[in-house]
Amino acid sequence: MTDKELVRLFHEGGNPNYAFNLIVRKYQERLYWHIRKIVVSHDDADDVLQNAFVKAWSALPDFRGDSQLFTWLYRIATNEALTFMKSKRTKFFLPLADVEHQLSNKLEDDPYFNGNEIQKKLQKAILKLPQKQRLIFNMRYFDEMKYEDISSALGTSVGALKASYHHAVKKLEELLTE
Amino acid sequence: MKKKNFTLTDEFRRNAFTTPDGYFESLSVRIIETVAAAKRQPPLSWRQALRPQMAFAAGFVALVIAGYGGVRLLDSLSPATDPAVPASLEDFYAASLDMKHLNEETALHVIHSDETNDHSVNTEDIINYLASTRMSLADIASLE
Repeated sequence: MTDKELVRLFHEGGNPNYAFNLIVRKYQERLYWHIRKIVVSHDDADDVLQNAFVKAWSALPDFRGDSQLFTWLYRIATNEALTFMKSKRTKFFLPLADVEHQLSNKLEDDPYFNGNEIQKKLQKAILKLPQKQRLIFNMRYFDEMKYEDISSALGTSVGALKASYHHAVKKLEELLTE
Repeated sequence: MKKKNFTLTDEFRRNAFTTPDGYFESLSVRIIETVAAAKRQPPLSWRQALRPQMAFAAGFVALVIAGYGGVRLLDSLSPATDPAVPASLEDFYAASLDMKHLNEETALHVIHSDETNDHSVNTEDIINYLASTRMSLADIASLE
């Protein structure tokens, strides 16, 4: 079923719960991985994903399909993940760099990370990127999203996204060069 | 040592993160349960929504009052202020002027005491004392 059909089913099908269930099943995994790359920990990603779907449920009645459903969901998931990171910073009175440093340390003993040494180095290097660049890099490199879709999800122009991605790649290559 | 350039190729694209076994099988059920629970919850009233901020503000006020009370209590328990210690810079200058005045009086008293005090040290003792130091005789003579 296409996104348009799912949205129509939600609005006009008489059973929004069923339509929402289908939406959850279609996008839960993609959104989980997107969130996981931002918050790193599995448990945090699980919490943020639940919150993102609660937000999506309450906002869906107002969603008229001006943007694609999946970029709209990506936007909600991204905002939830960033809000979570912000709350983590303010809760422990930490600067951004310290939170990223903590996440980097978490990778060392994360039971749900099975990458090799170079992948671990890559993830740690990604955590050193500015937040926006990190988001763009993950969406483009790992999720293989089109610039147009990233633009719709993040509200940034395609040109700016391309520049950010280019800078991110250069920085990562510098960081990973021995 | 020559640097080995790193190039970000597709081989690093593989997802290195994992999840607990069967996580995605039960995920949609848990999400729907969470959403259903959120639907059942009535929206927060303004009092409930502001409760954390109000608790924080009350805690802050209590801390300020406790701090002020503590300072007042310590003040009342501490010994009376030593009058010899000036409370402010102005008091210090005033005290200095008094001291100067007092010193002048004391000096005059010492000068004149030689004439009035019966128990004063006589000139011979002073000369003997100065002679025991390394003062030259010419200097001693000049004092007389």
